[in-house]
Amino acid sequence: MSYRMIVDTNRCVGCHACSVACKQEFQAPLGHFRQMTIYRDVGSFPQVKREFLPISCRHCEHPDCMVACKNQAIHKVDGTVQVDESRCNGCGDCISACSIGAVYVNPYTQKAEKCTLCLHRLKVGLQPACVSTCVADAISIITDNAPIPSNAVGIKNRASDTPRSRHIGVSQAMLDKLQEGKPFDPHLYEIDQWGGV
Amino acid sequence: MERREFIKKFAATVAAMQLGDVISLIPNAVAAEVPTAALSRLRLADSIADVLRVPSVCLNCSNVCGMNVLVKDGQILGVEGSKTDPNPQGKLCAKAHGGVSAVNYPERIVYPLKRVGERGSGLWQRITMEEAYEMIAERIKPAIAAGHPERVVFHGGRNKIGDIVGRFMNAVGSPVVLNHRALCSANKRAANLTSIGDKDWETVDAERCRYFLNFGSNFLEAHQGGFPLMRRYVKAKAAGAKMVTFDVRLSNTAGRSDEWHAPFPASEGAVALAMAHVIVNENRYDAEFVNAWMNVSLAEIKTFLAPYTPKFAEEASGIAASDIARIAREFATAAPACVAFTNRGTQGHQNGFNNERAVVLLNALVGSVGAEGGYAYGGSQSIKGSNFPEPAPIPPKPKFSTDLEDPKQYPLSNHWAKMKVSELVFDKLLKGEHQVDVYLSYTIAAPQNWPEGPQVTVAALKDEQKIKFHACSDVVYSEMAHYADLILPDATYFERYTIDARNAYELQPYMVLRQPAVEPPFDCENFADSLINIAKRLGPDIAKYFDFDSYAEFVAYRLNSLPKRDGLNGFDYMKKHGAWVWEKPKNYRPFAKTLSAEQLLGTTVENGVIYQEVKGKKQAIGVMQNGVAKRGFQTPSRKFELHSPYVEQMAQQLGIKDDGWPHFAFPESMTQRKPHQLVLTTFKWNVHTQGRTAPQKYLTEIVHDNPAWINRQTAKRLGVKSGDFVEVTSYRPVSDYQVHNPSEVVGKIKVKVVVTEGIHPDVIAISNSMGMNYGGRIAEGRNGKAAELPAFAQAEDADMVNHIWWDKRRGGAGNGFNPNSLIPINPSPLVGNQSWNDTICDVVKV
Repeated sequence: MSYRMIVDTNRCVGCHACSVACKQEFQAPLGHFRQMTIYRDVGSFPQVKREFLPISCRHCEHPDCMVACKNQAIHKVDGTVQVDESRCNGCGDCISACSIGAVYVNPYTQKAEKCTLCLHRLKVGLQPACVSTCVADAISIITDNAPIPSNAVGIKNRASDTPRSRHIGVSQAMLDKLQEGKPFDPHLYEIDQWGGV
Repeated sequence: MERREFIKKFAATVAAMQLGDVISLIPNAVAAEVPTAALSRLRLADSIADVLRVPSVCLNCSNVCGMNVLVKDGQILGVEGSKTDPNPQGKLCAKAHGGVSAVNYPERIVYPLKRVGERGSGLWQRITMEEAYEMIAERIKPAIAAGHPERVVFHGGRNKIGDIVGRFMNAVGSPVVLNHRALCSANKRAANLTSIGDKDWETVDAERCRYFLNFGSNFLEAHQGGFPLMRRYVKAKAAGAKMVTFDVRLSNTAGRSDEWHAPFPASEGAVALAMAHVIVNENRYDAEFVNAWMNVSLAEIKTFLAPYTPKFAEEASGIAASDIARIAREFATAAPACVAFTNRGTQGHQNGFNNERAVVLLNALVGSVGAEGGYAYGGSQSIKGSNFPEPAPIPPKPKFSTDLEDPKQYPLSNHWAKMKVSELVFDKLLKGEHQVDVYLSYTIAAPQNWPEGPQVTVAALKDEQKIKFHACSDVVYSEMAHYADLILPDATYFERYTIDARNAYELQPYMVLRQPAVEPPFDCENFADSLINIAKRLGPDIAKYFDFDSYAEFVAYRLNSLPKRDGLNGFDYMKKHGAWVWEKPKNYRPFAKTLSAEQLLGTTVENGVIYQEVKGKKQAIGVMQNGVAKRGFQTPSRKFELHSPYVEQMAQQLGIKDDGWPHFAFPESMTQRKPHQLVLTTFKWNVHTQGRTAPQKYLTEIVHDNPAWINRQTAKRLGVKSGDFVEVTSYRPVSDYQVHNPSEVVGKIKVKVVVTEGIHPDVIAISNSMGMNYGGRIAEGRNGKAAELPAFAQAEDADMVNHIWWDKRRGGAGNGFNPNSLIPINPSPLVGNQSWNDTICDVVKV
C-alpha cells in the first residue's frame, strides 16, 4: 500500500478546519504546526483575489530530511515519511534539510514532529484528520497507482525536491512565503503577512 | 483585615479554591517561566482506534452542526463530523475542533462565586450551589410579591435552552426576556417576513444553484447557516456555478468569488433596485410569477423602479452602470437556478431593511423564490412547544409587555417574531426607564459585543441602583461575569442536553440532540438545571411548573412525543443517532401548493384571500388563483409583498416617511460625511464567534489580533504603513434614535492598521471578537503560570505558561482591539436592527 496526498487549492475556502483538526489530533504546542493554511491577496483594488495554501510535509520520494538525520530516525513507510521518536535526539538537522519547513522539534518532548499523513487513521480505515473534516473536499488521499489529476504538481522550493504530494493551483508568489530550513512560521497567520501591499 | 490580604499572591486557579476562599480573577502580571511540564493528557492520535463516539451537536457558533464527540477514559479528545445530521454532511469547521479546548481550560469557572468588594472589582468568594440557588430565589421573590415581576430580567444569547428559560420567566410572570437578535439579523428577517412571510430566512438551494448574487454575506466564514451553505456552494462551484459578491471588504467569500465589487457602504439597495430595473425593462422577468404571485402589478413595479437606473446606482455605489446591467442580465439568464441573498454587510445600516427587501425582490422578478436551485425557504423543523409538548402544567404567558423587550418605537421588531431591540437595553436602564431587581445573564458578552459596550453597557452593569442584582452563568471568567454579583459555573456544550435544529439545507425537516459526552466537572451545571433548581425554591405557585428532577428529564419528555423508531422511544433514538429526519419531498415552491378540501372547511373568501376563524380571529390561510385555492405566502395578502401596506401603516402611525415601498435612500450620516472621513465597518473571522471563542487556544492562535484594515490609497493619504497606529474618532448618527449634532463624539481609540488592497478606500474595518479584557491567558494574550495551586484536571496547560507567541510583552502582536467603544447605539427605523456599518470617523496618524 502506498499513499499520496492531493491538495486542490482552487477548492480551498481557507477555513482552517484542517489546521485545527490537526492540532487537536496531535496537540502540537502553540507556535508549532504540522499543517498550516496560509493566505495571500493578489491584485490591486478593486481587482483583488485571495489565495489559500494548505501546506504540510510533502512526503518526498527521496526525503532530504531522511538523508540529513544522523540517527536514522526518519524512514519511509507506505509512501509516507515517518519519524521514529525512539531514535530522534531532537538535534534539528531535519529542520534545516527541509525546503519548506515542514518539521519542528517539540519543545516538551525534544522530538522531531511533522505530518504523518495520519497513518494511524489510514490503518484503521479512517481518513486523515485534515481530509475528513474538509468542507470543500480540497484535500484527499489516493492510494497505490490511482491516477493523479493532470493539473496537480509537486511543490518544489529547491530543484532537487522530490515531493510525493501533489498540489493544484499554487502560485509561485505563494510558494515564496515558505522558508527553507525553518519550521512553519506562526507569524504567517498575522494579517500583515497576507501580502498584497 | 485589609482587602488585599485576602487576595492570593498569584493568580490562583479556581478549581483549587476551598469553600469561603477569596480569589482575585482580574489579570495580573505573573512573570512567565520556562515550562518544565510536558503535556500529560491523552492525545486523539494515540486513541483513535478505541474512542467512544457520542453523537451530539456543536454550539461554538450558530450553525449547530452535528458531530461525534470522541471520548476516552472520561476525557474529550476531539470531534468529528456526524453523518446523521443532513446539514453539515459529515464535515466540521475550525471552530468545532477548537471548541474542545474549552472543556479543560485552566481558567474555567468551576465553582459558584459570590462577589465580595465592589461590583467589577474582581474579588470573589466560593460558595455552594445550594447557597447560590437560595441567593437568586431570595432576590426574585420580593419582586414578584411587590407586583413587579417585570423587574426580573433574563438576557441570553444563543443558548438553545429557550424552552426552559421561557417556562421559567412565564412562571415568574415577567415578559422581559432579552436577546441579541437586533444586533444580528433583525433587518434581514423583517425583510423576509414583509416580502414572503417566512419567519426565518432563505435557505439557498445551493447545490443546484448556478448563479450566486451575494450582497454582503460572508458565508465562507461567518454567515448564520454558512457552513451547510458553504458545503453545498463548493459543490455547485465545482459544477460551474458563478458567484458575484458585493462587499466593502475583501472577505474570504469576496476573495474567492468570480467577481468582487466594493460598493460605497449602505448603497446595496440602490444596486439591487437598478438590477431590478434592468430585468423589468428588458423583459427578463418571470411573467408567471410576477402576474400570479406579486401583490402589485407590473405597471406599478415599473413606476416604482423608474428612478433606479443603473446610472443612479453607479452614482450611489461607485460600481459601473455597465457592470450592474451585465450582472442583472447574467442573473436573470440563470433563472430560476439563481439566488440573490444578503447578510450583515447589507442589513447593518439605517436603510438595511429596504436594502434587504430590494435584494429579495430580485428573486421574485426572475421566479427563483422557492425554486429548485433558487431562493428556497421554509421546510425546516420548528422545535417549539406545540410540536414537542412540554410537561403539564404549563405556565401562562404574562399578559403585558414593557418597552424594554417590546419598544413601541420599533413595531416591526416584534410584530411577527420576538426579535426585540436589545442594543437599547443598557441605555434605557441608565436612563432609568426600567428598574431591574434581578438580571440573569447567559451566553451574552455584552460589554464586549454591544455598541458602546465598553461605556454604556459597563456603566449600566456597574450601577447597583439600576441593576440591583446580577447573576451570570458562564464557562469562563468572561466580560459579563466580571460585572456580576454571583457567577454560576456553567456546563460547556459538551456537557449538556438541548434540542436543536436550524434551516434545513436539504429542504427536508430535521432536528438534532445535543447531549453530554462527559459529566460537567466540579460544581459545573447546565444553566437550564440551575433554573429548575431556582424555580423549585420560589414557592409552590412557581415550583408546581417544575415538577421534574432535571433538564434531561424535561428534554426526554419532549422527545418522547416522537413515534418509536427502530424499537426505541424518541429520547433513546436521539441519544443513539443524534438526528431525526422527516422523509418528505424537498420543500420547493410551498406557496404554489393547492389547499385540500379539508383545509378549506369553514373558510371564507374576501378579495381573493381565503380566511379561517381561529379562536375568534380571522386568519388568512390561502389565496385564490384562477379559481384554485392555493396556500400562497404567509403575508397578509398571501402574495409576495413588494409594497407593504403594514409597513406603510406603521410608518404613518410613528410619523416616519415611508410609503411601504422599498425605496433607496442613504442614511443621513453618509450624505453629510466629509470627503476625508471614513465609514467604520466591523466583521467576523472564520475562527471566532464574537465573545465566545477567544479563550480557545487553537483558534486564537490563528486570529488573536485585529488591526484596522485601510486601503493603500487611504494609507498613502494618511501617511501610514502596516503596523503604524492611527487614532480613530467616531461621531453620533445625525438621524433616528436620539438625533444628535454630527460633531458629537462617541469614542476615540488608537488602533494599529494593516494596509490592504482588499477594502473600499472610504472604509475602515475593525473586526469584532478581539481585545478581551478577561477570559484567561489565551483570550488576554499573556503567558504566565497558574501558580502555587494545582490546576484544573490536575495539569497546568504548559502551552499557556510560555508558548502564547502573540503575547505583546514578548514582541507579539497582542490580543487586538475592541471597536465597540466607537460604534454608537444606532437602531434602524421601524425594525431596530443595530446599524453596525454606518459610523462616520476621522482617522489620523498617531
